[in-house]
Amino acid sequence: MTRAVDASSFLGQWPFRPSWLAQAEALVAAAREQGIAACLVAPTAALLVDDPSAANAALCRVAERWPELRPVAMWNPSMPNAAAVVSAAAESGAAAVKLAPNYHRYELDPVALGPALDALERSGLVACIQLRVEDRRQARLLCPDVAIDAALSLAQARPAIRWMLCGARTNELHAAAERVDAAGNVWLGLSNADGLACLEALAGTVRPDRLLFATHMPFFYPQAARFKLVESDLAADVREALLWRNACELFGLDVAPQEGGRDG
Amino acid sequence: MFPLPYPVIDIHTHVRSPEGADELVARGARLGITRFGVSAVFVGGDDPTPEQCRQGNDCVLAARDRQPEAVLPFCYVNPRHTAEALAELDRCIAGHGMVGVKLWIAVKAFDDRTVAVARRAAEHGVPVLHHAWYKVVDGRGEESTPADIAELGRRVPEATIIMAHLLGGGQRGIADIAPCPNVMADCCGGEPEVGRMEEAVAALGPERVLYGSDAAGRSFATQLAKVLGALLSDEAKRLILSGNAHRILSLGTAP
Repeated sequence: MTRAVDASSFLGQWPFRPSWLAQAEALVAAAREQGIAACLVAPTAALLVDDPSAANAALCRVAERWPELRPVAMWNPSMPNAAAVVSAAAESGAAAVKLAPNYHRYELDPVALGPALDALERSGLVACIQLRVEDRRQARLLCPDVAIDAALSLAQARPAIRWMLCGARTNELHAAAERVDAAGNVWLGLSNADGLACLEALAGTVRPDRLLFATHMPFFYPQAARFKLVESDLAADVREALLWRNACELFGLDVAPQEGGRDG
Repeated sequence: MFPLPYPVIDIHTHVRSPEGADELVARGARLGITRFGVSAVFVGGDDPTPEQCRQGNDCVLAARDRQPEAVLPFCYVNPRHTAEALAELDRCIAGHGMVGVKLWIAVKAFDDRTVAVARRAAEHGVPVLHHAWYKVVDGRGEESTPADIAELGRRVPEATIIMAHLLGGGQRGIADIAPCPNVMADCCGGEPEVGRMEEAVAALGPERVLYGSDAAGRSFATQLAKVLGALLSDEAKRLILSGNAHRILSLGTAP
């Protein structure tokens, strides 16, 4: 099994949909079983509060015990402490920051968020935007999805920041291909890609060096991300890029690959 | 992991053309899925005419002709046109050996017209696969809820009803159908959410849960992960992925 980097997951229980993968021990065990050497996790608890600082600090304390867990700090750029949260994330060695504008209730307006984005740009951290956490058709907490066009426009307005879009669906990923290609600073997570042989189709329309393996644990079974690789016929170099190489380059990780196989 | 020690049956797939069966077979083989319940709901939108249903069913029959060992054809009808729907069931099941009935969102599951279709399916000895969902937003047409499916199950106890999309029904949906022993559920549609399969099996028992993908709109992979990733016994997984479908489609003893 080729080693993988999970570019987008969460740690902690979502109060509306209990998951037995929510805590670190179970999540790491599941990651190991799927050959995931590094798992970029953001704190679930931070989605439901304006200031993510406490949840970020708690995540860092847990991650110290598990080498596979690479903390991603939740970040609310509309808060007055946005610059301080970025500094804390950088100092703690976070792999990235993650934005959830729908849960934190702000628009992806490059002008309004300008000072906060300046601080982020200075930090050099990757900015991940979570487009959705759960299927809104069944969501207990009514929360609109983030429009991928708005996320792409923000990335276009801030070309010196590297952006990852998380939770995009297959149709959104295909539709984003041209803008991703033109922007040069956007990567796309594959956790919510679906449809028969979806990865094969996506690798044909989106630059493969912009696609990132992602599981969306603890919401999703991590097997889903792995099995999609089995279902699709991908060239070895593309498979390797999706599974770990792109993430290592984007997030500056030092995850050694293992020999590949048809099991993804 | 693959292939599994037994052939997997996907109870819930769709094709838009006969050639779609080739894609199902080729992709399924990579994950050990060898047989596919196939229907054509891509005809006529939410409320198809009898002619559109017939065209869709002919497409599925042509798909079976291309992949006779793999395609398990389901007859798609619109109960709103009751007489034509019953005639189509007779044509497709008695005349062409279709093995199930597919109902979608044209008419509610508790409607007398749907009941008539389910009774005819039971006379033919085939199950009825019926769409259901509890949606907070984006509901469509005369979409049925799991409670509606349970009502159908109670009104036609001689029929085997498969409620599609158990994740879409959620905990309430599972509870709705639990008292109806002739109502099963498939796991297709929705995201591969952790814990939902375990809840379904705990409430219904593994004998009443079926693997389905809703391919080609969904991948086999994401839906298979719901079963293989779940905290279930190997025997429960075998039933869900293979044994239960063998039983209700009368395919003989599961290997």
